[in-house]
Amino acid sequence: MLGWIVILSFLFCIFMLLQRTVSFVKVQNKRELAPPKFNPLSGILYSFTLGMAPWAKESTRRHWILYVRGILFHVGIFASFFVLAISPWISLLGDWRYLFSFTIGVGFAGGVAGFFIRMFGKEKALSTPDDYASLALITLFQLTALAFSSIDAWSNAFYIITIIMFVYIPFSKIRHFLYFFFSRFFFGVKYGTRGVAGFHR
Amino acid sequence: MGPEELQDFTGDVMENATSVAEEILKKQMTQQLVSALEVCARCGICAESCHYYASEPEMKHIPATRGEALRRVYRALFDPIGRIFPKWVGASKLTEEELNVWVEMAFARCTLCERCTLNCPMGVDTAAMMQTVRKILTATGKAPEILVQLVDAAIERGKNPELYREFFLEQVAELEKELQEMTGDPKAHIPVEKVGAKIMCVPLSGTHTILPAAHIMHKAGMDWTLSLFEAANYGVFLGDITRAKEVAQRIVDEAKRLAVKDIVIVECGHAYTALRWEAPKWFGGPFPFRIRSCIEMIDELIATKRIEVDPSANSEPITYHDSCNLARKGGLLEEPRRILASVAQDFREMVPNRHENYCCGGGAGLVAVEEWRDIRLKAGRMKADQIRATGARIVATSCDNCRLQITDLAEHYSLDVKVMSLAELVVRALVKKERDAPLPLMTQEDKAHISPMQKG
Repeated sequence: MLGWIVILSFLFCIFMLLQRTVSFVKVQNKRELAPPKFNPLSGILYSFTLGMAPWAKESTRRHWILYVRGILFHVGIFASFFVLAISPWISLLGDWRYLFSFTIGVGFAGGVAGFFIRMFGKEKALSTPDDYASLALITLFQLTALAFSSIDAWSNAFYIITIIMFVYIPFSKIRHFLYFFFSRFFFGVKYGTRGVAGFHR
Repeated sequence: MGPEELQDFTGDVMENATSVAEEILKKQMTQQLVSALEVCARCGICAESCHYYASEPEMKHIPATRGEALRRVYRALFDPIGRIFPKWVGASKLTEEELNVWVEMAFARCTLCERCTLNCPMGVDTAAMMQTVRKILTATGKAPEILVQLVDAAIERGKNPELYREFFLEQVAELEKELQEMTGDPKAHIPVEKVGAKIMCVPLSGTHTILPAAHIMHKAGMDWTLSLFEAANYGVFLGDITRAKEVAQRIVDEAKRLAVKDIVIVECGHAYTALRWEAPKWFGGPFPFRIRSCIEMIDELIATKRIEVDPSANSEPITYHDSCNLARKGGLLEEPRRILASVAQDFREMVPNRHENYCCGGGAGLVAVEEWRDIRLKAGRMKADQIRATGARIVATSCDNCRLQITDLAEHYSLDVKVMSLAELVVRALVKKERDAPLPLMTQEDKAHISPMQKG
């Protein structure tokens, strides 16, 4: 039964995000119309690959621990979603499931660290209640995914948190992942076209 | 919002500034702006990338904090939760007081340098958000008056060029004498309104931007003409595309009338980026001529040996300041370095440099607003430190606003440096047979000349 509610909440989430995407696409796109200096494709590829490397930016070189924390946190989220997707058949993974437990565990630790950083760092002044709620929910999602990937009996807790998360995503800061792809795309187009960032450099 | 609609807003004094501001924000939305508003994770990793924060580490100087100012209003208007539970997502309605706070935030404490964008893992375009804020402030009559006057004066000159054409031609005739003296060639000529010329050079106000370019083009035997109009476009700083387009229109029309193949912008950061990269968006497509910076042209002239240069003419240690508009926003990263490699004996890079270079603190019109002088001088501390660390005696730069700001920084931070344009250094390095008289550096008279002209 819970499994079906998870699927329904997932469909709700997808529907709401699709609606957001459609609204987004309807908004005017301020295209680069000047003759390019370099191929924008190079910029786009760079933006999604090496441009995300910790050494690619001064900010991430300076704060590489924070950045790596963020990366591990997000890797943990992807691993949690993978575990969710295969949850009815998780026993088929055998001992490999503990690899996921480990990955999710590291992500969870990243989430907890992120929570403290947000509470006590300069991010505090920038944060809204939704920022804390979103982070807490995702971290809890990872915690229950971690528990479930280790012990099957945690499936109900995992599913309940998942349902809450799927319903909350479209209305919360968590939806920023959707805009990440647009934002990095525009970044790549602009700076690639102008020859500022891209593989040609 | 189309240009005509914006004109309606800018035309009148607002009765209810906040509702107009919200209306503008609604109609102003682009995919790029929505992305910037939605994607920020508020991690604050952008903080040190901002020269304001690096110089004065305060919350208000974190790019994400600036972005939040606009996001709060965006959420109140567009976010369903923001409308029902505003405090939960940090949404708030725009107030007159908030608008007043925005003036300093967007015009004095952000130079639209985009350093934060390059340093953001999400690629949040804070400059685009601040441009939107500037647009709102301009439309509600809160933009700095001097910037509005500058752009309106430029537009007026475009509408009535005949009013000052004669005066302009007289000035050019005087300049021509100086050019002949400098080059030792009595036939040296500064052509104006030459139909069919290959290049139209668009200068800034002030002889220091015209003479070096004229000298170089004369020596290279180029087929060129001088534009009647100046390249500066303060409409961009106001975020007012209608006005910015009108300013650009004068140059575009002149280039079409003269059927030139290239427009060459003298050393000016924002003018180059505006015409090269932004104007095609305003006009709906590319132009029938190329837009180039004079540093691209000089780079090519040196590479093809159309001018010969001797680096021993510039033996002092020289460093180069990358204008944000030319480098980070314009892509001119290697051209100035190739030029300096040819004309300077002791070139020393600032660290960081190229697209990672710090803004000097004078960009986006800030250098023209006298009452914010202290703010820009404080914000320029990183630049002053960078310059000092090189041990250079000359700071070369290719932007007139940067030049003015660095000249002020040199005085404020007691830097023993002289600020010169690349073209001036090239003229100094033109080989002896081609160099008969030294080029005067920008004099006090020149500096005094810039302001009234720029101030319209």
